[in-house]
Amino acid sequence: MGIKLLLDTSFLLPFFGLDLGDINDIVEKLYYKLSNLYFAEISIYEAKFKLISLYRKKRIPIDLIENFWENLRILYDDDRIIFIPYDKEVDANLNHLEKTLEARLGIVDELIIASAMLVGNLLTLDEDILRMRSVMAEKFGLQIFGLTDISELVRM
Amino acid sequence: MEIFEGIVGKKGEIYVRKRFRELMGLKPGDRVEFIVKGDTVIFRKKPNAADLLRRKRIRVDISEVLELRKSFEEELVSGD
Repeated sequence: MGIKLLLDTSFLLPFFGLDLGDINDIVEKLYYKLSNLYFAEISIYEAKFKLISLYRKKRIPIDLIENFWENLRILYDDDRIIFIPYDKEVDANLNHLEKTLEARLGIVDELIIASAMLVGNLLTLDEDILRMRSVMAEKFGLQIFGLTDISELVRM
Repeated sequence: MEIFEGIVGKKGEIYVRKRFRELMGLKPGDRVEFIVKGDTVIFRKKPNAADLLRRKRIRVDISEVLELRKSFEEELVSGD
């Protein structure tokens, strides 16, 4: 039921104990609405990095770092959560992006996009990626959605 | 503490009382775990992703989280 959608790293963080306000509500809504939630493998590393950074700034307690693996294991065991591994296809997509895009994106942005190209749709809060919506749709057939598109996504 | 009885079927399936299912919040399709310690078995509902969303959370501003991507990329590229 619903579209196949890859979610950017911000939408993975609520599973690791962060309250990001509306983002948490959106993730829960999508979890029940869509058959699967897709994430790029790089988002796991980015999520851990962000948690460690927040801990070092004394913004979150140590248990959010310590519980990371236990929570990740629960996500791995949940059939509705799918992590796209870095494989031959993602690598080919990344190379294709490098050869085709005129404007450069950060490497994490490109890894997220290369993974999302396998799914067809990407939900992100990243302004750099959102600015390239039309290019991505035209050149790679990738539909990119932002927060303002949530109600549309839930209806699809 | 409450003790519940169950029945093992011909194919090994385990039937438990309705009251037990209600107490554990078990619904069709839920995954469960049996932790064996000697001759004692601990039974528990296996949490799923939705359960993680309902746990206690720490409020962080989304802008703070988004800004960290640049730091992540810098560390990836520089290796520092």
